[in-house]
Amino acid sequence: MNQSKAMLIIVVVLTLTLVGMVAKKQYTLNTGALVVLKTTPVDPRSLFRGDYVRLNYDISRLHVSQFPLLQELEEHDPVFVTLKKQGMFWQPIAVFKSMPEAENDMVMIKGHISSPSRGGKSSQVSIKYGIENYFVPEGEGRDLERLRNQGNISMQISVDAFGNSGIKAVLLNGESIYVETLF
Amino acid sequence: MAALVMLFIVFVVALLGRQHFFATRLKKEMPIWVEQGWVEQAGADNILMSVAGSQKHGVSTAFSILGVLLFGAGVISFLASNWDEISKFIKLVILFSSMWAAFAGALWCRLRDAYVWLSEAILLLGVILFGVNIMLIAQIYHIDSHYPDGVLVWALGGLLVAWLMKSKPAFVASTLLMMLWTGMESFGFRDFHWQFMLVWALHLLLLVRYNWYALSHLLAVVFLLWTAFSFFSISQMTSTFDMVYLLQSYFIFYLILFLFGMHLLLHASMEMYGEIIQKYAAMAALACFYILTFPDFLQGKHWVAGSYALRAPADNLWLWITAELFLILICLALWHRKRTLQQHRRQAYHIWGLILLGITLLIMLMNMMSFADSAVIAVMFNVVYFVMLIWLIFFGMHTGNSPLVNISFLFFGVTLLSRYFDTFWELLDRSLFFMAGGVLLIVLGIILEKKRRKVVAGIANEGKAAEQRLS
Repeated sequence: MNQSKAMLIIVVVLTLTLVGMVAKKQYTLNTGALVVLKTTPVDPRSLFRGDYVRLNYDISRLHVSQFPLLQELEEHDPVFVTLKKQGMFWQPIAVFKSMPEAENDMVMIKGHISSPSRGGKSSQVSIKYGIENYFVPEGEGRDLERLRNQGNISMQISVDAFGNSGIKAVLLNGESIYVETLF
Repeated sequence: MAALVMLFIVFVVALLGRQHFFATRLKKEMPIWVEQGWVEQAGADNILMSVAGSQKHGVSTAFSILGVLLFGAGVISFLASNWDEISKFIKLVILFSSMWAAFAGALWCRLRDAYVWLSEAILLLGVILFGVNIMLIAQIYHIDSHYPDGVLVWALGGLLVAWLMKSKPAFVASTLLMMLWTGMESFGFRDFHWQFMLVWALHLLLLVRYNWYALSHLLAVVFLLWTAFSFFSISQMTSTFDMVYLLQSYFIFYLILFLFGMHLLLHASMEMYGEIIQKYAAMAALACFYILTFPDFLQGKHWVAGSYALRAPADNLWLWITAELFLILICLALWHRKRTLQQHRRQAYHIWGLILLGITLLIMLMNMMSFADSAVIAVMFNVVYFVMLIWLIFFGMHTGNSPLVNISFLFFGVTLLSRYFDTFWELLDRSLFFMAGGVLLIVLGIILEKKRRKVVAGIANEGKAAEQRLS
């Protein structure tokens, strides 16, 4: 194989890998249903990637007593959580092991068990949805943390037809302060 | 990232040092070879000119690679500090076009003889920018997934570049990234990271295909590091006292690798790889057995529910694992003996090696079943260990493998000193202990170094005599 052909293959393969990352997320953001989730962020700093806010949602910890199916799930298992709008925020109303048919006024979000049940009806299960990091411009993490402490931050999440989710906007008292747009 | 860059710099500097050493030695030896009539004067001049030329390009390439690493670090910090000023689309355009530009530049240099030396550095820049793009796209889209996967994709990208462009720097970068990936998986998630072997095998295939012999040391070291990482992740899954049995299994596993190296030595085309495998496997096996010679470790004292407990006898699982590993080891040893018998190359060290293996298995089984007190077992392990070192020196002498002789002498000295510390720390007065220790260290150093030099010189002389017989 000559050098030019080899280089073309390299560029195409590496570019497609990166485009795949972008396309998957962009699809979720463009086609997904929008839900608003209540958060309780914390603020670490990534050495690689500047300031980011670590986010915890109300739906990140679910009680086994409320959703007994969670007892059967192990670490890393996929889980589908049905969300329904109750007031300003969307709340979990059911969990499934596989993707069920979603009803009109509900949204199905996909997550993975990060900390399974330790037994007993009172225990909790932690779930990660891939929306737990939010990168902010350098130096603004502290400001967001301050607002978090006032309890006024919520996140607008886009959830696509497959249950994949992505952060669409950061809301302060229901108003957008950071919006994710392509242009 | 900084650690990775530092590792790479150390590697490049070491490579340059090795090249310089080779050129200096060649310059010294060449007149002797000409005088002996082994090489014509014209040929000698051409060889020296060729080595000097490659050395000059080596320096240029090394400096351009260091320049690329600094440039890459600058790009990351520039983007990080100006990130919020740019729209998402423009960010993506910058990321993609910078990577394309690097690869286009590398191709341009490759196709022009005058700039071929620069192409390696720019290719490496392309690999670095690919990794930067993965991280920054994850940042742009707030992707929060299993983070070692990003490093894996980066390493595979580097491997693709190394494969298609026959680029050694890309191969080194990919290997170091693979090490970072398995480190993240082993320590961050505490699972036994078997997937490493698949990616490592891909690296090995490429190394053998292009005959990058010098880089096999790097691949061997990364493999040993993975086994060390795995030791910690497996020990997290087992109880504290099982570490003794795990270490025994590791020792046998490294012996299997050692024997595998011996088998490779029987194939002319694989001989070089066989030597490398033997060297690193011997080092790892001796390090494992060295730990097993400590009585306190063998006792397995650990804290359980508010009081100390001692190690319990091994359960069936450990007995089964040890038996299986030993079966593989014995089969390999017997097969090697059969192959060498057919070639009329039977040596006494084969029989002694097999006897030593049998005794080692017996003591290990005694240790697992707790047939004897751990102090008695420790004494047995120590005796076997010293016999093993002597056997390895003997083996190194007979096979002309001086690195094995050096390794054995090193472990011999270290173990003797360790036993001195264990035995006399409590018994002697502190000042007397240190004075005697100092004298022991000096005497031991002189004696062992003298012996080592004698053995290594003997190996070198035998090699020269064989060459003369051939010529």
